[in-house]
Formats: sequence, structure tokens, C-alpha cells
Amino acid sequence: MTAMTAPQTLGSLELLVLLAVLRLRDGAYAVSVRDAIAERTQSDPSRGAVSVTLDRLDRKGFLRSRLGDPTAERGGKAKRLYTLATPGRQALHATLEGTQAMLQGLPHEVAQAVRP
Amino acid sequence: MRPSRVFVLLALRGVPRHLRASAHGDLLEQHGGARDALAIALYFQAEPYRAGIDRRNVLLLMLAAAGVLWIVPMAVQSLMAQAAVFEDAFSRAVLLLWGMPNVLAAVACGLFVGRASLLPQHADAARLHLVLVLVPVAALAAPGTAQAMLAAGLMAAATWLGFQNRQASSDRPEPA
Repeated sequence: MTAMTAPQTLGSLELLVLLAVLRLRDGAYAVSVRDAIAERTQSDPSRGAVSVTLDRLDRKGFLRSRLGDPTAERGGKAKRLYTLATPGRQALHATLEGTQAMLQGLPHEVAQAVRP
Repeated sequence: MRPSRVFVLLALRGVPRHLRASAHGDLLEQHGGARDALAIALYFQAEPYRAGIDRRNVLLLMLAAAGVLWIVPMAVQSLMAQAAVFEDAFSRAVLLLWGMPNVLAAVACGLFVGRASLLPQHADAARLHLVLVLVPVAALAAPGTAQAMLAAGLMAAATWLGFQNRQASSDRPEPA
């Protein structure tokens, strides 16, 4: 039997954070990512959870981070801006593909029950 | 400096150094207070325990550190006779220190935990938690109040020294 190296899949908050970063393009940082998730999912992820997830994805190489310009409303502190990296794109693809594969072929009534 | 700002800065000590300034900026932008800063810090403090490999490394480091606390006093006692053959001031000072094997063990353990590369930088919070557990253990293992206090203080200092040394070799500080 040959060993298969499957691409890494994402946890639920990791998936939401990567999608938010993708949506925000160059303006993704902890505050905007949290706002984007809250706005689209009607949920209220905590600041800590979003910041920790962004840092974890950065460490995994799924995101790239850089410092923006300091602004007065932030007390002269720079934003840490995030962009999607290629491994992140692959993980996003693998996770969404896995979800699609699991949904495919579900009996109609079951599929209806989970449809948003 | 206003007390609330002091609390925010104190709470942000729990956030990794390379993210501290941007996390502070995020809080200011959202008009967050000390409670919000503490919530963020607590999330970062819990992060090492979320990944299986980090959890395993924390456990391994704790066992190894406990091993140092146990083995060093035995090793020191077995070497005591050799140190006692000299009568000069240095040998007497060594002997005095050698007479407190638990204090020496606490120092060795502190240096080991502070410097250990078993825990990656993002798991440094767990390193601090380990020290908080090991300091009372080292103090309880030492005979007498004076040695217990010495063991606790020197262990904390040794950990700090070891940690500074580790940071100097693998740090990526963020400009403010």
C-alpha cells in the first residue's frame, strides 16, 4: 500500500478566517477579518479567537503577514496585514472539495435539511 | 499614565512579542479596554495546548524538568567528597553551595526550562506555565525556609536567563 500525502484541511474557524482574508484582499487584519466574519455569518467570533487563528495560519504558512503604516486612531501602532499564500489556497481548496464530496450523493431530504 | 492603560499593557504581556504592538493597535481602534486585552492574552496563553504536538512537548518538557530536579541533588551529593579535599576560600564557597543541592537543582532546572528548544516560540506561554508549577515544587523540595526561598528565586531568575538566551537566538521582534 502506498502512503498518500493529503493536503492539510482546515478547522471551521480557520476556514472562515481564510475566506475572510480572501474576500478582504489587501485589507485583511484582525479587526477587519472579525468584522467580515461577523457580518456574513451573523456570529460574533471573539477578538482573541480571530487573532490566534490568524497567527496560527501565518505560522503554518497558509497566510503571509506584513506590517502596514501606523495610524493615529490606532495610537501610532501598525496593522498586521495578512494575504493568502499558496499553501493556504491549497488547504482551502482541499477543505471545500472535501465538503462538496461529502455533500454529493446525499439523499434529497438530507441535502435539503443542511441547505442554507 | 492612566490605570486602565497600565492594565491593558500588562494584559498584553500575554500576547506573543511579535504581535503585541498590532494587537494593541487593534484594541485602540475598537476602543477595547483591559478586559478585552486580557481575553486576547488568554486565547494566546491557551494556544500551545490546542495542537497535539505542542501538548506532547509540554508534557515531555515537564517530565524532563522534574527529572532534573530529582537527579541533580543526587549527583551533587555523590560529588561532595571530592570537593571537600581542598581548604581554600573558593572550595569553601563551592562547598557551601554544594551543601544546598536542591538550590543547585532549581537553578539547573530553570536554565533547562528557559532554554529548551523542545517548545517552539509560539508555545512560550506553556514555558511560563511550567515554571509557575515547578517553582513551588523546587521550593517545597528544599529543606528550610531560607533554602526554599533561594531555590524559588534562583529558579525564576535562571529561567529568565535561559529564556533571554533562547530569544536572542530565535526572535523576530515587531517594530511599534
